[in-house]
Amino acid sequence: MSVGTVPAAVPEPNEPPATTPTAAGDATAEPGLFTSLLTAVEPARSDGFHLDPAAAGSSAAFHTQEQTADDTADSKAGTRGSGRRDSVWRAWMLAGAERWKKGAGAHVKRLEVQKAQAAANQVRESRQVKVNRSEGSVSNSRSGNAGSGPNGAAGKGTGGGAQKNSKNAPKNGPKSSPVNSGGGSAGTRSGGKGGDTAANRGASGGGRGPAPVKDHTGTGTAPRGTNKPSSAGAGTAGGKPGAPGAKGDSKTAPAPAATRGPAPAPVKGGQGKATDSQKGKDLAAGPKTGPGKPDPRSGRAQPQATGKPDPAKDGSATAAGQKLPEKQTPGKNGQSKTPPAAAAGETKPGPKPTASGKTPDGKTPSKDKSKDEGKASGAPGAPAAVGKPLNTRESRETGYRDGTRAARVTAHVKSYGDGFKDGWTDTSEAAAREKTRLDQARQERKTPRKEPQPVPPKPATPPTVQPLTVKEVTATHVHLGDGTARPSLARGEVRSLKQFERRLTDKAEALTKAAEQTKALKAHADAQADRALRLLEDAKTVQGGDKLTGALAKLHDTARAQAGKAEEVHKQALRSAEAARTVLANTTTRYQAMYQAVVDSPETTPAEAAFYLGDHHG
Amino acid sequence: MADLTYRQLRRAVTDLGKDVTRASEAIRGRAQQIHEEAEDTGRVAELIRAMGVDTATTAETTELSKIMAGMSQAANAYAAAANTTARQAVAAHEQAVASHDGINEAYNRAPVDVSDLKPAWLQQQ
Repeated sequence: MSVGTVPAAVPEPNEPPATTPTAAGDATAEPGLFTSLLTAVEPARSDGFHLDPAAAGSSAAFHTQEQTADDTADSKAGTRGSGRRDSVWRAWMLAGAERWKKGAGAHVKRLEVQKAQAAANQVRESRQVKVNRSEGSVSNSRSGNAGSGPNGAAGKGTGGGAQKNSKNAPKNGPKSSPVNSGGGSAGTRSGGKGGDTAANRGASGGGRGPAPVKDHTGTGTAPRGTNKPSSAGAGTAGGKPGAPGAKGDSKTAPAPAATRGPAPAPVKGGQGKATDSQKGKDLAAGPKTGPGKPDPRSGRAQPQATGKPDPAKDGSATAAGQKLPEKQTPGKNGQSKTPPAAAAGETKPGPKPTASGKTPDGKTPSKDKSKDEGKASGAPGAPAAVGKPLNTRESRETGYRDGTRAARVTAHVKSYGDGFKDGWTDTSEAAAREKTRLDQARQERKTPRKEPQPVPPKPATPPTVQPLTVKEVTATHVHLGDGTARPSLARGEVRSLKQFERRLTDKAEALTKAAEQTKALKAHADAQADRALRLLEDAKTVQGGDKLTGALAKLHDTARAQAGKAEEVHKQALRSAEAARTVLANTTTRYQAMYQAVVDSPETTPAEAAFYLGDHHG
Repeated sequence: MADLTYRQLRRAVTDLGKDVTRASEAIRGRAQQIHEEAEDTGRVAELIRAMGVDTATTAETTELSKIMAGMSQAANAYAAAANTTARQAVAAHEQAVASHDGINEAYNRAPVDVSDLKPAWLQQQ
């Protein structure tokens, strides 16, 4: 299947060369050629197929199958046609849908047709067209690559079918889209014959290829055909449904289904073509496919072809085919991705697998065989094409681009996740810290009350304090007992003579006592000085050493100085006591007479001074 | 005089330092007390001046307060001198130890009778 499909896409351009080999393969070496060719082709195809090729493969498969089927047996083709119709439908519908999505306009189609025409002779040109489209989608790029491979296969397939039409195959290979290999082949063939028109047809046929295939395959081609004519929109709709059906038939792989679909169609076309002749008219393919229906189909097919051709043409067809395959593949993938691989594997490995894969479909087996043949035939073409198609660079670039995009998205998502985590953790930590702080603050607020209490307890240690002994408490003084620093505590105020005298008396007594103490102190200091001097002399006597004697001499000096200070203190104490006594004596001398007069007087206090002294001053 | 021994010297110096320190502390307390008395006297002088007492008495009282303050200062000076003496006593003690402690021990542990040994015998060359 895949082989058919793949070849179909690329092959159409390449087909011609492929076709010849395929033809040979068809006749005799189908198995051997198949295997060898398939094996060789597989890698390229598989690569191409996996991604886009499914679509391309689908169309190619149809064509190849058709051709092969035609070659092999018409009866099988008929059976195949039915089974493949579904696949074809799907492929076609998908292709149409994709085209529709792409919004391939009439302009594009026309341009494509023109390009196809121009490129009819050159396969590469067709590829370029595909590439242009491919820009939009990976499938295109792939289609270009895959197309080459598949085309080769398809070409072979078509060739197989066309081998009889050997001319068509080669021509088709270069021109028509691989997918449409069947139709493309026919177109190319016709192109080969007809030239530009043929090319147009061929291109259209490429696009048609699938469509016609569907027509062929889809016995109910009429409605489908009608749908297809509508082109992309209808095609898509029809194609999709068809695809599901094909998938339903064989979930193994949408790609395969597509391939099968196209393959069968081509087969039929091939049959029709074969019957008709190698001309493999593009339209003829359509019409041929529905041999019974040929006329209507042909009519339809042509319109379809025309309608489709644009999209179907190399780019469109391939794109559609590819896209279709993709779409199909996803569905198929869901069902089982194996299909594409299986398709490729089947196609390449050998007719049997394909047959087996197709067999499930039902009619496919016969078609499969035809496809197989086509594949086998295509295989040889494929290798030739391989050199061209093996441009995996585009696929790689595309993959790189997609990978970059995906990586960007992933990076954004990851970065978002990381940022989210970071923010979460940071905020959480901050909240935790805040919480701990607040908890601590609350705890502290609660604890304080306990602390204040502990503070008061200290009163426990009053013992050291000695009670103050009081001998007497007078109006003005508290006379303290022995052992106290002061003899008495007095009010701070001195407002009378007697208070003053008492205060001075106390001070005089204290100073006198201090003088005595200082005298003893002086004696003590002198004694210390004498001791130091004696030690010094003794040290000198025993020759205690210069340093020791020096230290002792210095001690003697300090002691002597201290004694001098004691002398000074003693003098000061004597002087203070003397001064105090002097003041007290003078005060008594000055005020005692007046105080005595007041005492003698019945009054307790004298009158104002002016009362007594006013006359003198006056 | 010649009876002075190393241990006596150390003890004498230590006692001297202790006595001086003790006296110094006592004197410092007395000096503070006298200082308070002096201030009180000065306050009394102000009071009697407010009472209209004659200037001679108030002046004498003020003078008394100053004298007492001087006495307090002298006492503080004595206390400071006493501290100096005490420190010097400690220094002398340390010097004695530094100079003679090792020699004292060596002599006391001497395996032979060195009671009559002349100091010059061990003089450092």
